[in-house]
Amino acid sequence: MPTIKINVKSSQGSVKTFDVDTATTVGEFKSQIAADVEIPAPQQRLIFSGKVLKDDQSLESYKVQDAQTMHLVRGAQPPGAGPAPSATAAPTLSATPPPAATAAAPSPQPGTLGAFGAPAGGGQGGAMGGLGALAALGGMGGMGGMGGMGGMGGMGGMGGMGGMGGMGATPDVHQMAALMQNPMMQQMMMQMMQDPRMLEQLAGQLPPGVDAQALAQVMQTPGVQQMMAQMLADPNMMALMMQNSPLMGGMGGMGGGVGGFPALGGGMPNPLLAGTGDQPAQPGQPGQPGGVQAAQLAAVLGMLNAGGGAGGGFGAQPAQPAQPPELRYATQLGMLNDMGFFDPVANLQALVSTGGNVNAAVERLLGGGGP
Amino acid sequence: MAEKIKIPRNFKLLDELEKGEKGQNSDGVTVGLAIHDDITLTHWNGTIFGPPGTTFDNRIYALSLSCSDRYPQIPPSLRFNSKINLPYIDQTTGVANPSKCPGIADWKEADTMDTVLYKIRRDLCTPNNRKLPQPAENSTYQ
Repeated sequence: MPTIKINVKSSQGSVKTFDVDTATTVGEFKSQIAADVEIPAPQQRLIFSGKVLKDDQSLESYKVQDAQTMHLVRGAQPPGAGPAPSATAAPTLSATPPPAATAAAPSPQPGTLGAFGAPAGGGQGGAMGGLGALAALGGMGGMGGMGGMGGMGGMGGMGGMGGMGGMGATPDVHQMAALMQNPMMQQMMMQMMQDPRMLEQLAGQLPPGVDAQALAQVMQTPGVQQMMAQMLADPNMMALMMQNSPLMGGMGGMGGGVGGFPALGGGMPNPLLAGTGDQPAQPGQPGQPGGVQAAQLAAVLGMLNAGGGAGGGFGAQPAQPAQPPELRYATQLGMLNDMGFFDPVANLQALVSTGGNVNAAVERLLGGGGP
Repeated sequence: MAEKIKIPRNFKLLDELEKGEKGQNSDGVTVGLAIHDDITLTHWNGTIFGPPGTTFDNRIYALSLSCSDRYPQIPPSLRFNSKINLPYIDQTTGVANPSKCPGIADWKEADTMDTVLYKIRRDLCTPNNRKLPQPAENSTYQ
């Protein structure tokens, strides 16, 4: 009668972990978790491995094993003619838990283990841990989060393009630095910088008047890539940049360089941009290589930033932090849904990349999301 | 690029099994082996939670999938156990019409059972289907 940990995933996607004895019946288990999941036992529907679990069966009989995950959905009111055992079994059991259930309680970690979102299973590898810190931003949303810090904000646009959005959360500097130190993230960024296709995709989102090729050239310039690499590698630089420029301010050549990006996504247009972008590389950004490119960059940036202004007109809200895109665009999502676009991921993606402009989003959706 | 690498049937199915047990399926669907010790990895169960805002809302649809020896070159066959009114589901047997069912009709080798269920679930939300009158809950095909 071993005690195992079972993850219960709600239809909203949150996961809670419970200790339970495998001899426990499904009905008993439902009673055990009812308070935590805030669904009365008779209304719970537990699904595991493609099966709806029956209340009178033991967890063992379904071969539920340690660290596995079942799904919980809220069913209709207790079924009158439905599977009878649930109605009778659950209430009595919750009053007087059988020995099996009580035996489970004193185990090392009694009751509910994980708060929502607690990493379950631990098998996901350390890399994800770093991202996990930014869970609020959600996965790639972490990239979007950078939008908040200006310079890298371009990547916010990219995050949006990736459909995961989440611009503008204002992440803590340390979190940010940690994120940037994350090898996976670094790799991702470098890939973005180097992959011509990525740039092409981005180019599809360029505001009119911005020459995609020129941008591509700049991005392909070894100096720029090197700068990116160094920026990614050097936490101090990162911190410095962030202190200097919560909103894109004096990042100098590099800030401008990367800062030009938001114009692409139209994601985080910033009024400040137009001003700063035209300035030549500011001195006093220590450790910055590629001074040669600075002028070249600045030129292109000026152009890009002009585009950024245009992007601003596009309807994105600058700096609206700490709200995930699905919340921020809730009304627009509703509208899209009413119009007959039912893919929430695609909808959100379209909204994020159009800065919440429903008409533009519809166009994107109809155009297959391509350039 | 990835399509050119042929993943052996059982590797792929074991991977799908693991994803199902760890709750890593797409939103609103689950997949698992029908018989726990079926080493041939042939018979599978799946569920689809009816998407909110449709006539399928709040229902759990149980279905069976079968993966032949030639999976994933050929798609799984699929049969609903719970009664469901959809154009591509045979209303007496619950069997999905392989040339019309989303996910099966457009099957690609890189797809999984999860992909199929996800596409069906998405299809439930289309304007044509979302308001379809549905049989009583908990009724099943024989």
